[in-house]
Amino acid sequence: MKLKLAYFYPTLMNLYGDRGNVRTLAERCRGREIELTITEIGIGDSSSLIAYDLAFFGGGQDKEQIKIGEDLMRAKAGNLRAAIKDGLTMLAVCGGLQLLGNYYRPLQGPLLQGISALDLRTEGGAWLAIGNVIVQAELEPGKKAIQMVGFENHSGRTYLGPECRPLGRVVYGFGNNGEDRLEGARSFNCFGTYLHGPLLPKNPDFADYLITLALARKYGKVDLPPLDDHLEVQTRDYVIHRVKKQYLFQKVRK
Amino acid sequence: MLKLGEGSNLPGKIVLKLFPDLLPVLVPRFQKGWILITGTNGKTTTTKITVALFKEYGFQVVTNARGANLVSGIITSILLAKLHPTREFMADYAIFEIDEAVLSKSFHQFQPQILVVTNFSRDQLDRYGEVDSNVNKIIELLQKTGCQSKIVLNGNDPNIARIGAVVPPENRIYFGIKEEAGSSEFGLLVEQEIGKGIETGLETPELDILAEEIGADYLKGSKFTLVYRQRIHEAIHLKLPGVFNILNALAAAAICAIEIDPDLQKLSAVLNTVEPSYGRSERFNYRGASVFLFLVKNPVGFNHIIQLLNQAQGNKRILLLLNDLTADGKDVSWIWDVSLENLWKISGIKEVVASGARAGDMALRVKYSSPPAIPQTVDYSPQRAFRELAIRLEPGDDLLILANYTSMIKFRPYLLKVCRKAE
Repeated sequence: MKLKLAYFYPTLMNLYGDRGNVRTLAERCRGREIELTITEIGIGDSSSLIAYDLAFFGGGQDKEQIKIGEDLMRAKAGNLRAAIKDGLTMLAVCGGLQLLGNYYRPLQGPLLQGISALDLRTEGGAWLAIGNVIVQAELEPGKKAIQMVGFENHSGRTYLGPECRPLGRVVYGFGNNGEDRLEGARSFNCFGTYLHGPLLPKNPDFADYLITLALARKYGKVDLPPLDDHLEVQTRDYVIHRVKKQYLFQKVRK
Repeated sequence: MLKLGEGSNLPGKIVLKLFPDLLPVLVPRFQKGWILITGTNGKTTTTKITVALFKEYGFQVVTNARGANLVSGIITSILLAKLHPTREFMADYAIFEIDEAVLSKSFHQFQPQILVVTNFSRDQLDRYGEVDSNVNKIIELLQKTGCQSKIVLNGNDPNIARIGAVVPPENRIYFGIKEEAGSSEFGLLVEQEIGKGIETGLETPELDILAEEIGADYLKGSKFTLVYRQRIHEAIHLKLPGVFNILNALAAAAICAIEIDPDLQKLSAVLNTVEPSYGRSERFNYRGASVFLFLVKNPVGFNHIIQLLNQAQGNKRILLLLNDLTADGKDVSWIWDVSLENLWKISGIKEVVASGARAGDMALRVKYSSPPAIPQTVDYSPQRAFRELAIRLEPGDDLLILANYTSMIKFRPYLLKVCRKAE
């Protein structure tokens, strides 16, 4: 089986080790003998995205995000919205999440238009929400919820609109806006999140879920043979335990 | 008596609480003034070489005690220096590395003669913020204070060039490696990823003091030719290993050239004998085996060490230590920006062990870096990991320890205890 991944702005929007997400998808595909082809999508590229099975869009420095935003509006908005509606499986982290939304309104400076692929808006915040996050996510109705761990670092406060679900609920951490205890966003098979880490290495079940969605759209339902995720699960559980311990300690100190 | 660990800023913190206006009292007590050194990597080594140089020229110098580089740490260092408190001047020069996060707030209090910026790259995003905002802070700072200080800048680093643009040319000096000389190694010296593909409008400035004809010989150090104001200093032998240390040496040479001796007469002798700083490319001897300790705090630094290790002959077993304490930056995602794939180009690696508070994360990074078919182990206890690795050492095996900041600081005393320090 073969899958094609569109990697958006790999050099500019890659501030936080987010490339590890693409690495993880590639390795986990290889482990099932699925050939994953990665195509870098850069500034000015306006070709159709329907043929892609997976897409990744990371976060970047503020300065870069303005230029990226302009390019998205100019060259990619229509194609990306169409592909997402068609079921493209996508992961957008931090800046990627914000630019897929309706807009980002910073505290100072002009409003940054998003491509409205996700029904959400982001307002500028006065301070950075920084720290480890534990998210509880019910990926499919009726399916057992999974816990994911990551690290957030953002001043933006994201609010979901009616057309958009969250990725999950915040168990520990700030989340989208510190008010509604929601983390991330989902529309069709497009997922947005503030979780760095990077997200997928320590959360292999979510990585496999993305691969499964991509395969299903192309080949119909496919059961992925399991990989040896003993290290991934052990590491995730250890970090979750460590985060909970630190959180408890902070609560007690207060 | 307080037991001071490496990097301790504590006594200074206490003193500052009692005497909040202490810094303006201490600052003028250095007859020739202050030299401040900041940047992502290379502060400690550049400071060390500069101090050695100035002492060689006969100056009395005060510098960081135990690497403490916050304002409270600088004060601690002065208090610990056993100087005459009643004399008008405590020493000739105060030469200090200073943490880039505190520089802007305290710069106006120091009013340094010279400010050195070694380089800027992505480091602890949760503590330092983006590279851009750090650069902007320094630019604002220099514009506000009217640029009285002389500024020494890394001309190879495009982020630093932006700073130079706001300094009058007579007050700035660029150091760097001449482009042809670095060749393929060059790409790892600065963080080139960010900004690629977008016109940054940055030109690489002309270098005032530079190194060329570089020959690196692994841990024996490097040879190079130094050029300053048309004066050529050939076959300088730098004892410190790695091309990145040539940059640190050039920064120190630049300071010496503009402040005390443009002929750099004593430079060669000092570079020939300077020892590595605490935890940086240090060598130990464990029951006949060579143990090397390398500090890797951020992607560029880690890539430098991998590049250095490319020249390492023989068989080796690698221990990777990763912590996530406040001083490290709690976020460990930076390890995914390290080109760890290049580690596997090094010959003779027989196994990898990941340890420290985030051993699992490091092991995952290894797993997803296309490693060769060698044993990969996770052990959250660095001391136990070391002991068990040591048992597996065969004659001729080297043990390479790559540790980030607090994991190095915590581990080094144990290493000193069980090893002999080697030459």
